[in-house]
Amino acid sequence: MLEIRQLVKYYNSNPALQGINLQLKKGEIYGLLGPNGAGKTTTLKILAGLISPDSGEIFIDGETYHRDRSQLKQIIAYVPDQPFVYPKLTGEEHLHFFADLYKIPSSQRMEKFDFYFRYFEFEVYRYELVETYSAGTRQKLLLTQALMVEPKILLLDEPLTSIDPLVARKFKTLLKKVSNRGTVALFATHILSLAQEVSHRLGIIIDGKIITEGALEELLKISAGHEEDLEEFYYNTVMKYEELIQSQV
Amino acid sequence: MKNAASRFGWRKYLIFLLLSGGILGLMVFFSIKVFGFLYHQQEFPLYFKLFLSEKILMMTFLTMFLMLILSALISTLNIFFLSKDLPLLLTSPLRSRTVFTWKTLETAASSALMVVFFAMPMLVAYSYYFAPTLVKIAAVGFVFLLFMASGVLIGILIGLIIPAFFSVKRLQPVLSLVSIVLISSIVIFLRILRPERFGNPDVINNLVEYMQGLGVKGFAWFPFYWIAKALNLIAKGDYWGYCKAIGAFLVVILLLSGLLLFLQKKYYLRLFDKLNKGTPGSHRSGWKKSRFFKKKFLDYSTLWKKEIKTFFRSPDQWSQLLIIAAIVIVFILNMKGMPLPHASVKNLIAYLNMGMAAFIVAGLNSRFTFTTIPMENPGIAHIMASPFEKKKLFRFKLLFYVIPQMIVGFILFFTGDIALHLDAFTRIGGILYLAPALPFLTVQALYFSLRIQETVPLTPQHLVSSRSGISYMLWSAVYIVAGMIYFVRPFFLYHYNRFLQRPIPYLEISLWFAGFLLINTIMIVLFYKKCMSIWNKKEFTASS
Repeated sequence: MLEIRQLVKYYNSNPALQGINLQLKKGEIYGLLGPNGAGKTTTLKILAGLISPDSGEIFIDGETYHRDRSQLKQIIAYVPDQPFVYPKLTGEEHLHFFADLYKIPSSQRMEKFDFYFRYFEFEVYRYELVETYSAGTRQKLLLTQALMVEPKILLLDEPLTSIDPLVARKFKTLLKKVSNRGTVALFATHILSLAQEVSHRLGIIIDGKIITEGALEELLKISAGHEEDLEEFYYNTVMKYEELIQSQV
Repeated sequence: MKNAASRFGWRKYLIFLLLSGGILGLMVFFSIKVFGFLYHQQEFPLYFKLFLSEKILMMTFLTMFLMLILSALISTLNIFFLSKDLPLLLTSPLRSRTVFTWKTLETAASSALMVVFFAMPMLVAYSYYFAPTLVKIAAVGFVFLLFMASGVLIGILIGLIIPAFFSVKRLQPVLSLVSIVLISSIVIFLRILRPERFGNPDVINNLVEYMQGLGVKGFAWFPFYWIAKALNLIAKGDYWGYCKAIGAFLVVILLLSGLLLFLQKKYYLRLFDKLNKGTPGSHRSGWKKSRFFKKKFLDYSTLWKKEIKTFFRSPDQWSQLLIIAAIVIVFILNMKGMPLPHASVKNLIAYLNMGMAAFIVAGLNSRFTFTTIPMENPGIAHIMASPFEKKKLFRFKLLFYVIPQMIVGFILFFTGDIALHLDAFTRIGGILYLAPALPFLTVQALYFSLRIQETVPLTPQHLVSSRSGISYMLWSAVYIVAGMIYFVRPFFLYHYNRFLQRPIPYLEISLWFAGFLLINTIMIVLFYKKCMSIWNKKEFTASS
């Protein structure tokens, strides 16, 4: 469904991605983990079409994808790492605006809006200007915006930022449902419990390279049972990588 | 101190001191020049000298009064509601009235400082010539104190009432709106007074007519009128009249103080709570289908709806329209009041009017068109990640701004046309100059705005004063002046030959006009293509 080959991106002369390779099957949820500045957000932004890679290729259902392929973007939805929205639109207007951009017919909108406003528990803010929303409510709006377009590829950058535990749980349930319907979800997060709970596969990215990936059980097996959970595995993997780099220096 | 010094902070202080010293020196110099000039006019009787001084003082105090209100209003919101020490003070054993009183004094001091700075040179110069005794100087000082108190109290009261209607999140736009209204009022008031008449009293037939012309009835109700009158009365030695002015001040101050105490007792703490909590408001206008955009342009209709809603819900955006209104009013007043005895002068003014209209549009472009894309950041990333075609967004931005800018430009030009009764040639010349110049200025603004690399959400102030913003203003000025110089030739050919009653070389003039249109069309196309190329390559990294 989604394939990334040798993705490279430099910011000025600083390498952000150094040859990322990924293959995601239909219905797969893939969690990208890594320290700050590792390249998670850059990967997602390239896939969302906000920035161009310096080299490498992206394929969606075998078709070459780049940021100007507007038609292919119809099946992609993106939630950025910070909940930026138009402050002077109300929650409902914001959703209408994006429904327009994705050409969702008016007849289908209200049902979706009603569902998500209630599901994520922010119906009371529906007609309020977004500028009055808390960070968590803004994030709910962005999640709604991404989910309502029923994308085939869902890109989520820190999807649970500022979200309360109850709604976070609801989101995880919904994400699994969406994936069961065939949507590919690629998300970046620092919340290891989220990655552990919902991901089919995980990748750890450091210095613009995916240094290890696989299903959680596989990863724990590879580490010969020394680690009991994802947190310990992640910590040891990052530390080993840093030691390796230092020894090479 | 150490850090500031290590970062060459002392240089900043030195520059600040030199600048303020320089400004103060200049103000003293001009004040002495103005009042000295009036004082030394032998042919003027004393009452006429004093009358002219009073008018000058009134105009200056009018500006200061509005500055004072605005400054007190901003200080009030900061000091009474947003100051970080408030939670500490209000939870301490201090009585809330004590806190309120100290906050009032703090507001008065901080808001009055600037006005005192500007008023002192003028008062010193006035006292030196017209009120040179100790008693008179004391009387000048006292009435100035009362003037300051009335302005500060009005500002504080408005500042205390505003939170009853607006949430803290809307304070900044409200303040922008208030400042724009006040600044526009200053401009309009000053135009109503027509200060240029001071420079040429000979144009008025007689003294009575002249003196009558300098009065504006409604001003008699304002403190800036009372202080100007009081200073006049001091100079005349009419202490009874002076006491009446003081009485008016005292009554107003007492009323305002009473109102202030009432607000403190009944509402201050409630408003403090409300302001810090914020009040959400419901907007149920919905997202109606556009009737104006047919199927092919439905994409533009989406952006149109979003743009219109966000524009008119942001007072700091739409309130700028008031400035445009003020500019148009001042423009009309200027044109109407202009004594133009000769046709040649009229033609020159009409010619300059073309450039003036272009300059105003360049200014508006700098504030609106230039800032539109960077200010939409980082929300624009959502549109870029959507299936919406990128080039359509750019085209929309261009159309959304170029049409109103052209309307404003032509309104300004035709206002001049109506006021000056231009001849057909000048009218056509103006249209041919503005028709390509206005769209070019808009494309140019977008071109410079695309050179800004947004990394954080930006404000209009940041943007306009950025390197790109200043570059736009400079290059647009160069473009307007170059265009005006280009137009000298066809205008000269027409008027010179007409003056000599020779056949007018219409072919050559037409070629000049056609050349201008051609050059501009090429430039517009080139800039548009360049913009598109930058736009297509543009990366949206803002939220990282």
